[in-house]
Amino acid sequence: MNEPLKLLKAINDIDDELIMEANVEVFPTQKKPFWNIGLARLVPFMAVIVLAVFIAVGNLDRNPITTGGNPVVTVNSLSDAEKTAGFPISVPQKYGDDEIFTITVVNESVICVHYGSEEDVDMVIYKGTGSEDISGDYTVYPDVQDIEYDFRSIQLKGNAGKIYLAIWNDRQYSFAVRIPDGAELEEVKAVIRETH
Amino acid sequence: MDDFDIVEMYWDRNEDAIYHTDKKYNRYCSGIAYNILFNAEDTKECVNDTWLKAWETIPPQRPENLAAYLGKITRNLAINLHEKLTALKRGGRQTDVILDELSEVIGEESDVDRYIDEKILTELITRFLKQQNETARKVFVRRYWYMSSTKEIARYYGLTESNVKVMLLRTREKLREYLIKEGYDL
Repeated sequence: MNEPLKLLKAINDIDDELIMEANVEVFPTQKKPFWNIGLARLVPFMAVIVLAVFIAVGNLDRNPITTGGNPVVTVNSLSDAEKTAGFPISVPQKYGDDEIFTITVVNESVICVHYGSEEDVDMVIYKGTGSEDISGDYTVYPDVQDIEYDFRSIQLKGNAGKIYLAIWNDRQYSFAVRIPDGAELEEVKAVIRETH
Repeated sequence: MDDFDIVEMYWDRNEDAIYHTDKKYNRYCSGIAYNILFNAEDTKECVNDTWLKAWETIPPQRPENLAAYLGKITRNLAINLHEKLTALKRGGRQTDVILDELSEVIGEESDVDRYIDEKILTELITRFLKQQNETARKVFVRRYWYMSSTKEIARYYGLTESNVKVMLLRTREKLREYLIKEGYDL
């Protein structure tokens, strides 16, 4: 066997933690089911729950109205979005001539990357945890097509030969690409290819 | 389905284990195989062989991290298949470029296997990587374990492609020095 190949094979069995650390898609770590955590841990856990409920009930009269923070946070960069949402994202730098003009994170769980300008949004890419449709586009499009592309099953929605929405799931993440003015299949594929 | 439950199904010799493994890890393993083989049919074959290998090895194995376990099988099978497919003709695939890069660390003429076996080499690489800073480590593993292109790595980690290349060059040099220091005859 040639030696570089031997080295390449030796790298195969490095520690699992090194492999998972470099997994850009942040593969889900193995977790035991909740009911498998053991009695020793379960008792204090339940005690904390009971205490929290007790405090919450006690505070009901004093704080009759609670307000949450703004669920939509605008961030300065993709890395800030990743920190806020807690997962990585890769998107194209440009869409045609359009650049990213704003990045938002909704409920700390969905990253939205907007291309074009405030007045004329040409494309929005969404990535979130879970498997639900996160596009927010509930239009009933006449053309719905499922394709296999880049090892992903993509659902394309459109009208009159143009695609307005592409949605797919990849592992524990849900993705959507919304193009308000529509696009050709190859343009959409180029976006999908660079979106992870 | 939880990995814990999938592994239990293998231990129970329940063939549904393969269905659930495929459902959960097909894309992950396909991605690894494709980066090595660059061919959809070979990738499919390699991933199917991975499920077979998992069926043959669990039990007695009980992997704590099923993703890494399957990934290692896929990667190993893909490298072997690549080796077989390119035995007659070497092309410009990513794997060939990576092999050329790694020849800087260990030369073609080394008789390293007389002194140290592959497991010890793996242990040395693991120890070396744990001593590196996080970015250098991730970039190295992304390149030489996941076999990603330097362009992809640059995009993943918000670096320029030339940053990635320089970082890889330095890490390879450091690895070479480390192996020599540890008594590894190159």
